[in-house]
Amino acid sequence: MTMGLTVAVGVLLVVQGGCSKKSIQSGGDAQSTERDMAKSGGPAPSAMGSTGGGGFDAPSTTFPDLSLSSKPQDEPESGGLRGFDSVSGGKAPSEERLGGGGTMLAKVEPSESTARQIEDIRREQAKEQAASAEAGLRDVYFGYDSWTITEEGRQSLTQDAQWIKANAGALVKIEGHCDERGTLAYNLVLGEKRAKAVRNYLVELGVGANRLAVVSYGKERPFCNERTESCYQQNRRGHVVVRSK
Amino acid sequence: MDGFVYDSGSDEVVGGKRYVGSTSVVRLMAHRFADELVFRYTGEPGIARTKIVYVAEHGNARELFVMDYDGYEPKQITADGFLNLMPRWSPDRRFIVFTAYRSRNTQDIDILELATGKRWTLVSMAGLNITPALSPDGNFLAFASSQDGNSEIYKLDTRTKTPQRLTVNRGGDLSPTWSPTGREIAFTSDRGGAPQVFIMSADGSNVRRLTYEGDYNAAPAWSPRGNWIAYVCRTAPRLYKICIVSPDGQKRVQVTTGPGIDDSPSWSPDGRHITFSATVDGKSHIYMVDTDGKGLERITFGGTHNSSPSWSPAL
Repeated sequence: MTMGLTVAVGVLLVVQGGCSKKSIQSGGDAQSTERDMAKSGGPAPSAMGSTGGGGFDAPSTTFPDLSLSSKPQDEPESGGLRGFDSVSGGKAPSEERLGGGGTMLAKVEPSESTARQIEDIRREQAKEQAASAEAGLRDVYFGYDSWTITEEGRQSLTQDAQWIKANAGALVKIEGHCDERGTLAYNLVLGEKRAKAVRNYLVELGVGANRLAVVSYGKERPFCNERTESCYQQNRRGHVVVRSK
Repeated sequence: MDGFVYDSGSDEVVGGKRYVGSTSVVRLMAHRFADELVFRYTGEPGIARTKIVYVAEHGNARELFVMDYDGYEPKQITADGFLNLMPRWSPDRRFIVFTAYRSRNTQDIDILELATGKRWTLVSMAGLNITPALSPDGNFLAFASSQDGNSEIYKLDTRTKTPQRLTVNRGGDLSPTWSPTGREIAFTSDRGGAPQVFIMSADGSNVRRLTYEGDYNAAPAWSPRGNWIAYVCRTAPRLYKICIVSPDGQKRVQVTTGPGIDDSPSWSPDGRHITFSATVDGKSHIYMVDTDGKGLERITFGGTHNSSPSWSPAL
């Protein structure tokens, strides 16, 4: 039966402007729901405590109810599929009114606070880079799939440790990075293993662990993007930076 | 817009449906009609109105976007300015859970309500807070955190907010994915030295290794039908492709080929297609493919970085 069917979709647009006919099926007009929400002062993403301004410093402590039974019954199109009618014998097909899409999306427009935050991040990074360059801190490079510190890496870290010990007020951050090969998720774990290997070696050299923070960026903040072994090597690193306070 | 179905044998109209709405929803009308046809003839919900949440570059930052499953109408849903990673849908399609870097130096697992943009922090433990995945009933969030030294899998009861640690070993455990029944969790672990896919019961018991072929298998995604687990398999010579394996480990198929670095497989709700990212010459884009490796289609074209796709449940 299915094999023998040809589907013809005739496009016959009905202009909706000013139409007062109410929605007859499937829970109605998603757009109006969105409008109502905006009217009732629903939070715009940029105005929210947890996304605006300082970014994440005011997360709500109450969770939303995520269990499926909490799904509102009046959600647009929750009526599901109704199928179409048999229209043989000159009968008109059944009619359905459609509003917005099935999934409503709040608009996110980079707001002033976002722009400020992006600028803060940029400034902080530049400050860290300058301070690390001035300190002459060296990075540590790793082999493919590996988080073992090489002899060359040990030499770099011996120098780094001297500077850190000589600058008692400085806080240092070790970023773990990976090349583009492998999965995003596992590279975050691998990046953390690399960063922690660097931290542990610095601690062995006498640096206080409380002065060393680690963060993994996996393959998400690469130093270069070429598909060459030399670029891969650049990206497999423990990046040692003076942390801005 | 009117849609009709003809029997090509007899030329008779066997069904039809009229959709009324503004010109801005023409795509929605066609997709709704397609879903109705699929439902009528297969008894299953179609995927024409499903969506994909993914990560894309925005300036120097990586932000979350949602697009239709065919790549149309991408919309940005976060604007934090740094790194937001690994988005996943809630089973009711109302929320997205994801990893957000808090001020560059630490990570949280946040949840975003799509309709309002409202956001909550669900997990903020020390170290990594990655690979969140909500259970099929929405009552539990499985994720990986390294607060105890190395990455382990935890399960957070979203009603009581109580976290429970599920894995205990010295290797890295991550990327939990729920079976459709919610009774089992597949995950990645490098407890044997290299990453492999394992399965355990949802209480952390009954751990068994699932993948044996090759020395790198990761990022598992359990099919909504339950019959396959898709994952990233490393083949010689260091190619990262999409494979599927049956949960009993008996059947294994390599789905994708070619030079791209494939990652982050995610199933369509009907279990027929897999979306994934592939990196070729430094550019990542999102693709979809059928489980037999046919029907490969690229679905993002803009920018240089589109990754981590997650396919929504059906409406």
